[in-house]
Amino acid sequence: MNTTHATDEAPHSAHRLSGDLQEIVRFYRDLLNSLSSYIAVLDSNGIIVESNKSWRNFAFDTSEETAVNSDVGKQYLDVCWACMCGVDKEWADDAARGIHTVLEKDLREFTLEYPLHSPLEQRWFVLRATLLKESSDHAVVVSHTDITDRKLAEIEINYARAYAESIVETLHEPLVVIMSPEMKVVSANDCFYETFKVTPEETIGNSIYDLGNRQWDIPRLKALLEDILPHDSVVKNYEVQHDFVNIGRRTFMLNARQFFTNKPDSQKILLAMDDITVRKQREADALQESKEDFHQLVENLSAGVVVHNSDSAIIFSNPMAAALLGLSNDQMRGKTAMDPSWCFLHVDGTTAPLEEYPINRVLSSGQPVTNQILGIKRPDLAEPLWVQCNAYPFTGPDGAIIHVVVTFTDISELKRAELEITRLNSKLEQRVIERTAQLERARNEMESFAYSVSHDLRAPLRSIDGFSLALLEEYGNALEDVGKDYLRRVRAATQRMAQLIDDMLKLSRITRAELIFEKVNLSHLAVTVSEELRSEEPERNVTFVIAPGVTAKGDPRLLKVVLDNLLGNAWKFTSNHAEARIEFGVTTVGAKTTYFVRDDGAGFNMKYAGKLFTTFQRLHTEQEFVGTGVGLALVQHVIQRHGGRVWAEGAVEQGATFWFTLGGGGGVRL
Amino acid sequence: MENKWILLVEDNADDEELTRRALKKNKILNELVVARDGAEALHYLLGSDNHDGHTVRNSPAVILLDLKLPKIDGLEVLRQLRENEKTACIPVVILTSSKEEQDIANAYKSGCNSYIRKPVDFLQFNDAVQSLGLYWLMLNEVPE
Repeated sequence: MNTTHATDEAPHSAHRLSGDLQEIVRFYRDLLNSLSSYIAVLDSNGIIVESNKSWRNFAFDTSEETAVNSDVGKQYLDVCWACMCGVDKEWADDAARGIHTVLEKDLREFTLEYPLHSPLEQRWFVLRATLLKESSDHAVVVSHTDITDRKLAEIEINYARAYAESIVETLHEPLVVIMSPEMKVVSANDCFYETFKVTPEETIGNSIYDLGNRQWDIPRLKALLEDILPHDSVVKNYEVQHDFVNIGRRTFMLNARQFFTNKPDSQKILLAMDDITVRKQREADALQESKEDFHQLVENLSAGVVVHNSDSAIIFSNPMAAALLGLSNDQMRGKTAMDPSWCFLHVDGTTAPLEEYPINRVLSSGQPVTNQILGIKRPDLAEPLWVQCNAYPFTGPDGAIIHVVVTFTDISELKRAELEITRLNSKLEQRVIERTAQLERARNEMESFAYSVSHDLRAPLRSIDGFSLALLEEYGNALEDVGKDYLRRVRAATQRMAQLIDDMLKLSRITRAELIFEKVNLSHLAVTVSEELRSEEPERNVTFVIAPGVTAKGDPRLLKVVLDNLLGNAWKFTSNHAEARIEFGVTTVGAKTTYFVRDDGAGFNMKYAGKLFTTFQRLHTEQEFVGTGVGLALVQHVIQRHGGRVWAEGAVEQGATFWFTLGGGGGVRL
Repeated sequence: MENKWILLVEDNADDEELTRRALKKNKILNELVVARDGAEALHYLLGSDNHDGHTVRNSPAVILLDLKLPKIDGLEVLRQLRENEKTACIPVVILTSSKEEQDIANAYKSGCNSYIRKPVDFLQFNDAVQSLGLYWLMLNEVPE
């Protein structure tokens, strides 16, 4: 700060004043010194006669030379340049000219705003030269006041305005600024002029309502500007439709905003107008189109559609509804009486009461009705028409039903087919009953036949055997050896025939037996069978190899028959060997569980493998191995009844393997 | 011994002869009475008037009863014997050709005391008759 000035106490003065006057002068000098503007008083010749403290401080701060040149007694116009140091020459010249004009008394006051920029900061000043009075001594007061803050704010405002204006101009939306309450247009953007085919001249300053022969005098616009906007200050998406002189009927979407200026009775309104005429038209077209499509669809639907209002009255129906219900449009709408015999039927053919009608069910429950089957009893049709109904309520925002849509689909064909199926089924059932009875009879006959065979065929055999033996015993002495041999042959034949009869009976019994499926432990069964065989001929040297834990689903009694026969065969056909090995196990053949019984006995020629399972077919003579040829037939029968398969592999004197599978457990009745 | 007689109900003459022979071979010398059908057996045992004098006799020690019989079959005969107090306790051995499960079960349900299937082989039949005679005529006790 300025601390070295010896002239702080009093401004310089060329005159000495006395007493009270001196007091007054000191007061004004103090006043002058307290001002922040740089002030100098010039006489009519431009000589500095008075300056304040700010002036002197500034001059001193600028340079020593300036301080000397701008002191009292110096010609200001001469030092103007130096005083306004850092100012462009142009500005200094303007200032000098201006002050000179005032000194010459051509002008009472001259002001000049000028920049005074340094590399560190931008500053602005205003120079004001005022003609003080007519005196020759104190002609003109020159002041320089710092207006940097104001200037910066102005720049800021100008920038903001330019920015806003450029936005407004680039908008593709007509935009006007209106001044209320007169509703005069203050400004409008290019788009406004283009859209409404008007010029700025006929627009700016005129009332918005008066524009273009009062074509903007639109009640809705008036309501927006004068009633709504003062309350809400912002209005969005306000639709206005109007016939304009130059451009025809248009729909605008208005967005308005009220600006509060510092004048409370005068507000600015920004009004943006989006021309949505084309969009509206497209929407309307699309709506119309979809309405037409929908109408077409409903009219041609193969389902009947009926729309009821909340009082259950019909407000719409399509042709198929009329066709299915057999009612005219007037009848449906209650304008013409219906035939009293017309009614809906339940599935069982009884008349459905009114409350069971789909519309009434929806109205009373508020819930949709789905897939209700109804018959329509029509006076013009002999048979009822069957329909499947769906009814759906449409509710308003408050949840109350507005209307109910009921659809009917003709299912008469299905119904007829269903009846036909029922009829065929009952016919089929009858046939099954008859056939079952026939089978039952056949089975009973078979049973009594088997019983007779068992009982009656054996009796003669007993006689043959018994009396042959009696003959041998009583009259053996009378017979030669050949005769005795004959009788022995007779007896052997009777034994064999008895065996055949027994085996046949066994086969018949298994054929007739009911299958009882359960989990069967085949390993246990095989062990049991092997022990039975061993106990019959304990002297034989046979090794049984039985895989443990082999199970199957089947009839345990019949599976025992299978293992009896297969293991029994293995036992029998290894009897000519001093040592034998018989194996039972399980493996997988082509993803199927396959059981097997293997021996190392007599085997067979694969050429005859096909005959193995045929009843009474044998590959060995009775002398070689005893048997009736029923065993493997029995095995095959049981396996097939289990839904499985049995086959064999073997070679003469190299043993045989019998493979079998069992079905899933369903079993087959043969 | 004399009062321990046997009633054989058998329609087949061959079987009758073979039975007699087996009894004889096994030295079972008890009296053998033969009824040819079910009706005859019932008449004999239940004392019908028009029969030939057996009505006053005591009950047989054992009845050998075939199942398949003319007129009234063996099971029916058995049922009627069991229903009648006089004959309810007489041992009845079913001696038949049938080995049907159903027959065996029904016979026992109707109250038979034993069930023997007649073997075709006479030697086996002989053995069976021997065991039968020994058991029912010698070992078995019946209420008087």
